[in-house]
Amino acid sequence: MEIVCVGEIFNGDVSGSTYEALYLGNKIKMENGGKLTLILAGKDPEQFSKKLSIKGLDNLILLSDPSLEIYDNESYSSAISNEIKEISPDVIIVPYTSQGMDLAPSIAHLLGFPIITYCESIKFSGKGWLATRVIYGGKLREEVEVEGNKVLITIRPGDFPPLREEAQTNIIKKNVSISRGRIKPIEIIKPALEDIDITKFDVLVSVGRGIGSKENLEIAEELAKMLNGALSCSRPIVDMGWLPKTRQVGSSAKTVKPKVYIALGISGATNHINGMKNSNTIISINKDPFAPIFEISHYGIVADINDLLPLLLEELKK
Amino acid sequence: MEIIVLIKATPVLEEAKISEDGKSLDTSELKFFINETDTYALEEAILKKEKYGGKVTVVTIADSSIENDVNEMIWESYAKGADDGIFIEYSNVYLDPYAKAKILSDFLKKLKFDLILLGAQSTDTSYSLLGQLLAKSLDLPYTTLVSSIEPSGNVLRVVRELEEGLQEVLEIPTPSILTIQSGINTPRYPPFVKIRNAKTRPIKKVPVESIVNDPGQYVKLKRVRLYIPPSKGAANIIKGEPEEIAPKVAEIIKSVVPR
Repeated sequence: MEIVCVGEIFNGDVSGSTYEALYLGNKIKMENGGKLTLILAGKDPEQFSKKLSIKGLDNLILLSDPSLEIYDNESYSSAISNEIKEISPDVIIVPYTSQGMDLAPSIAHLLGFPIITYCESIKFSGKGWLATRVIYGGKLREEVEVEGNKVLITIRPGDFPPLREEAQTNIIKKNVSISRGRIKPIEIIKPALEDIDITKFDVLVSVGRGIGSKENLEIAEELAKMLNGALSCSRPIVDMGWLPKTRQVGSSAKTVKPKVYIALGISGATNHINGMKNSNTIISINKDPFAPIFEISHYGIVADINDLLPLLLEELKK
Repeated sequence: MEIIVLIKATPVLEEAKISEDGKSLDTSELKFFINETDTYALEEAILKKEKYGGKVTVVTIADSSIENDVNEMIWESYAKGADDGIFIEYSNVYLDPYAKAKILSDFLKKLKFDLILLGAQSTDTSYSLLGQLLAKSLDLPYTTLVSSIEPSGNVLRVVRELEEGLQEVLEIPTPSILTIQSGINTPRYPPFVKIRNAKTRPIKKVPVESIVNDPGQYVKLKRVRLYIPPSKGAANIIKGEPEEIAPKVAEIIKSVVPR
């Protein structure tokens, strides 16, 4: 079986999710036999050839062109799918990142592969590929089948461990010549660092949509201070403008691993869970007894934040 | 600018019930609303119309069994500022993003538009595929996770949200398809009287068969099973009256927080 992973360069380095895609690729290879190839495109991907010489990876293909300095789905999908055509793989694995979400459908289209996004696991059923997907915010799973022996899947960051053990890998360097499509990438903007770094705290008090009011946000902040921790949050709090982006926990924002993570009114969307599930102790308060956050919590408290939080603060002050 | 906004009816789900076929969700007791990121796409379309003129048309594909909720969703869109609403109805068939992209492509290629907006991800099936597949089918440029759109001459200057707070700026011509990330704007809440008045306005109902025959044939991602994952739940569950559990929760916190 030919397996191809599409890697990515993010913020000047190989993204963590690239190694996770390799882990799944290697797992499929061990189950079915075959070859594992990683394709990495960029302006100067050769600089990563040593760290991408990984045990289990048979071929590393580095595609370089000055026009690949900043990502866009037209140039990248054209360069990458041209290369994949040569390999004629059975399965292509792309990380479901901001780039993968944008890029993978174009690659699938150019190659005529069906695409199943947001997969938790995948296996070949004999007549087609069967993928498990996490849906309805983690409350349900579905099994999706595509007929035929070709598939492109995207996987969620944080679902698989990284494959990183160094070894010899066959490295193939190619200069590709890309003609620019309709999209013109301009620049990458880095965030201004004017806030605390939530990854540095032993205790995080994290608030989500269920926090309800800004008053409760203040109580949560008081709780965080009392515990020598910091206040963090899930996406809806940033969307509402209540806390800056720097405080957002999630596999697409900041991945944290504090000693204690207290989740207040966070239901536990996958992105959030994959950004904090490795915390030492997780205490969650949520009024929905079916909230997915409870699945990974050491202590799950089924209660309305509005009622419990003020009482809890009083108790801790005693 | 002529803008088409694709909106999806998604349910608010607490305790899920699976239908007897083992493949579909029992929706009989569920209430459906506009998918969260689609509310941002709709708001962005209305803001652009207010600034540059033009028209906003909302289009949805939904099962006729949830017709009442879909109607309300479109009336709410009218109350917010949408001009036209189109409800492509189907029944007794499962449609994946491929089938929906085929239907929308055949339907929309006859319409004139500058921009198609939709949410970057749905809260139900979370494929994040429809916009991209539709773009391929209509041969339009697309990009995803958009957090800002500014017209600049005959192109759009667009910002995409990346990981860890990084952003990418790019230029994309019109017509094109953009999938919208939450937080791009603050969706408005229309006053009740506007929603009430909107309910007198017509919704264009389009049976899916009038666009394509046997839409199920375009499904590539066949759902063979839908299930509730076996719950292990939290290691320790605490529930009860707030007054009763507050001291317990305080003890737990004190016992695990480093001093």
